[in-house]
Amino acid sequence: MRRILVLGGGTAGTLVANLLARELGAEIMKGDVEITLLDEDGNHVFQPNLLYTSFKGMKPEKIVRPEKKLLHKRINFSIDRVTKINFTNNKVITESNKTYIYDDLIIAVGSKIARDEILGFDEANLDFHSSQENALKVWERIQEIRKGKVVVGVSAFPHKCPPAPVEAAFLLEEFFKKRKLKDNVEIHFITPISRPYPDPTISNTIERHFKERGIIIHPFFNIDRVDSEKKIIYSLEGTDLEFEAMFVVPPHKAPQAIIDSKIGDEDGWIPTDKYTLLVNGQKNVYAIGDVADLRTSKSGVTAHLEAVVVARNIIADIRQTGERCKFTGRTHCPMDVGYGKALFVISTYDKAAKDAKPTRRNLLMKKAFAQMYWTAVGGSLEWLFDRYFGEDARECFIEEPI
Amino acid sequence: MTEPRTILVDCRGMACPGPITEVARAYRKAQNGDILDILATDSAFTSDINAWVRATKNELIGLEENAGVIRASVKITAKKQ
Repeated sequence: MRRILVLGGGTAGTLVANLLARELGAEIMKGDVEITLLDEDGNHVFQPNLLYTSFKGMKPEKIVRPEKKLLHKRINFSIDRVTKINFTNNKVITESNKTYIYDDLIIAVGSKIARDEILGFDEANLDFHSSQENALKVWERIQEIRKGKVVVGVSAFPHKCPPAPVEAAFLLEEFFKKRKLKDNVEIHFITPISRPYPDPTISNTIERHFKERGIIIHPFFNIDRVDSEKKIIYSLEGTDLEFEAMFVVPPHKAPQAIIDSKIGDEDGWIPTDKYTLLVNGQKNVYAIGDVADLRTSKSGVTAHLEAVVVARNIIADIRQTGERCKFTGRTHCPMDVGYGKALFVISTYDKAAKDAKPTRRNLLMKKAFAQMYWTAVGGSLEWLFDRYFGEDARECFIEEPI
Repeated sequence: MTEPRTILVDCRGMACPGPITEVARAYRKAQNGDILDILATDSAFTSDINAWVRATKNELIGLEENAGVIRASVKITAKKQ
């Protein structure tokens, strides 16, 4: 019996478990393979739409489904928080004191908001990034704003969904313009680096649009602390910024179980081979999605493409087909720039993003992907994604016998 | 206040903008007096680190390239603490 244990029921964990269960039906029925998925709360949130709850008022209940309903019936599913992972003994321990032994482990537990990292940040800031409840609070708060500085941006790297802070700026500008409040409300974008987006080419495009729409950039702005009563953000560089409202993406780190298990770096990101997605030094443990320390986007599409690579490699190993797949680092991040247009940030480890023009077609594509999500995470649309991404998402080959 | 440290920020193999985001990440945890010893292989890093040092008013105490590896040493002096 080969025991495959998946930790985390987000995009990466759900998809990898479903792909394995769909493909390995015969082996599971014979009792040769067992797939188990553990998730901490049993709810699966389509996180990209938190942006639309926050800035467009999308109903929060539209973006969440029970994890169990998304999983193939051949998968054993438990709602139980992981507390410890032990690579030496191939063991995972959970909050309910259960021990799971694995032959293959896939860690897909995502990232968490590090609320206490910056003094005063959590009291002053409303974040649209972490939950439906918080996203709804953002939507309610922006209805009240009539004047002053609204601050958005990035507090620290890395964070999930790289385009989200920029999208927030664009959608807020559209929101206030449509309400004829643009003359009284200033939008300020802060970032610890020199430009609004990490990729320089995409950043140039954003800077152009920010300028046209009056969004003010504060580069090299590392938040030191926030005074929620005086409503001032103090930076490590000594420049201070007053605000009426603050919707900045908070610092992220890996879940506590990863930090406690000492299998990640100081923030918990797990050192992972960027091609095989195997955890460094391990032959049967993979890290995918936000929790891996890969130099690519922490985003849903990337998590999806990583899940496919891991599923194919495990299936090939079980069936001894000799196929090996390598992840290319492919990103495909849609960026809504407001007024019905979007662009896509497309890159790999080896190819930087090209300049991209915001178009209506791109926004339709973004919406189409969102509509397909609940089906896609079940694993039945890979034929479509294979056509769309082609060989850009992975390199697969048959390993010659030694 | 702890003793000044030398903090290695190894960005070799990372494409732009990896190195400068790693510098920003290390800067958050550094204190005045610490030295960031940064290694990078991306050619855009030289201009990025120069711009970063100018903007943050920290001190670039060394910048050299050897066999394709750029090494920048930055003394943290400008953090408001």
